[in-house]
Amino acid sequence: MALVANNLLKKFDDFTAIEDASFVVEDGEFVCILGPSGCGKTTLLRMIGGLDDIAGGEILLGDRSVSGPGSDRGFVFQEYTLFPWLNAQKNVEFGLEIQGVSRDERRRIAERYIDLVGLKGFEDRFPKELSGGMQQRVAIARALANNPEILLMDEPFGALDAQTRNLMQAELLRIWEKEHKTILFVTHSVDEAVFLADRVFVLTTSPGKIKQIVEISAKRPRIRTDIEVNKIRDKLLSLLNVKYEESFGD
Amino acid sequence: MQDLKTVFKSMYGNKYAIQLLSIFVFVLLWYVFVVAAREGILSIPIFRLSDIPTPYETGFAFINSLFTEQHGPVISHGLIDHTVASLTRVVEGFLVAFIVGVPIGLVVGYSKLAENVLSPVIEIMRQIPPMAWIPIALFVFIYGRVIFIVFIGVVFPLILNTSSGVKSVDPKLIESAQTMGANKPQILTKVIIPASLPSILTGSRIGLGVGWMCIVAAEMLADIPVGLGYHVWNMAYIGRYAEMVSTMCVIGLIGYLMNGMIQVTDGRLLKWR
Repeated sequence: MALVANNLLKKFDDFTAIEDASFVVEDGEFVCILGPSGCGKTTLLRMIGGLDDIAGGEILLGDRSVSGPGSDRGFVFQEYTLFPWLNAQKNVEFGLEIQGVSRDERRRIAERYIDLVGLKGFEDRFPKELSGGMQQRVAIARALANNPEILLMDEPFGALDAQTRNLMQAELLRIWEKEHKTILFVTHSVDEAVFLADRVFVLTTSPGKIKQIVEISAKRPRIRTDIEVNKIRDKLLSLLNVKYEESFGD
Repeated sequence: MQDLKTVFKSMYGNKYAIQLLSIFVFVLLWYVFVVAAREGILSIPIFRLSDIPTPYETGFAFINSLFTEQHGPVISHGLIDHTVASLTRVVEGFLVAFIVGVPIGLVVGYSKLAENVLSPVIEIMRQIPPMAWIPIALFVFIYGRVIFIVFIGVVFPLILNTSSGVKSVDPKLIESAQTMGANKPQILTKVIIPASLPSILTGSRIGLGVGWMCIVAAEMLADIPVGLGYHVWNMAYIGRYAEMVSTMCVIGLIGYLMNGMIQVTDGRLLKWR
């Protein structure tokens, strides 16, 4: 289902964090929100997820206005947020249990999503017995099990090492293609956005505004070192005002 | 000699063997010092060491006073009866404190308003030692005086640990539950309570320890005819020091066992940690 944001506004006292944020994420689309740290991209995602309240504007999911958190918008956090007292299976079942789904049905659905994220055989493990990448796989399964209209992901692979991160990006695309879910994915990594997204919303800093929307039409699976891919990477970097002199410091 | 060496070597690293040895050495030293004092070999000026019963006398008194005996109209309760009486009171006091303390701790930890309303009273009341409540318990309560003292000893550690457990629940876990559609009661029962369980159990263990100390003191002062605390005092009063010390040993052992039991429970309930 399409997500529409109209003139979203967020203020912390005098500080305007988000201003004039208007955009549409089409049904089944993979969109990345890209911006430097502190630009308000996480805030924007949390507003859509209903975790931060909005000072102005409107969020529509399909033709329905949404406010406050709900199971129609699945959320995957950067931090590991599995319930440590529940094993992987029970974590995935959590939302279903909340909704009052029967035990057999819960088990059936959870098994399907655990299988989807490639963790068959790890159902009985507690989070502490899983690696960071595996925990985020369970977190994705947990969000998908509630059958949300859209999946909101806040730098979900930010805490992972580079190899695991690349692997998880490919895994996420595989899952996305299989499930046809709409995904809104926040990242500060240009490489990640270029590899994943259909479109990239580039944000500027204070106030956070959408500076430009960049379409990436390169076919998947994308080769990270492909010329076409590199051109888009350059374009995004210049939009972010990353100058090489600056990145070397004074 | 070589044999002894290998015995020690195999014990090294076996913590239970070392712990048993430690108790054995303590009892041995106790025996040696008391006997040496009685033989006049050892004398400490301000300390009448020779009046202390030996481990042997203590053990003998322990076995002899295990069971209740009746001599005509006079009943002398055995250690088993005293232990059962004290344990029952501790369990009762603990249960009441748990039923009262955990909900208060949850509310104080969860709601800033409740914290502001309740915590000044709690913070002041918890400074009053349980022993200082004994006089008021004696003239206010008709039944359950000693249980009340145990309650006072248990309830404050339980409230404080529970509320600090609730406060330290990772907010991201609560947000995760919200994004899956959990309402407030569901967040309480499915996130906050399980997340605070380790703290609640810690509070229970501390509380039970304090409660056990309280029972002994309360029974000494509350003038009830049965209970370990009463028995220690009564035996001292009639000059049966071996019985007195054996009762003290029972108090120590039972406290130790209770602590161990809660630790085992902790391990079972918290295997996810």
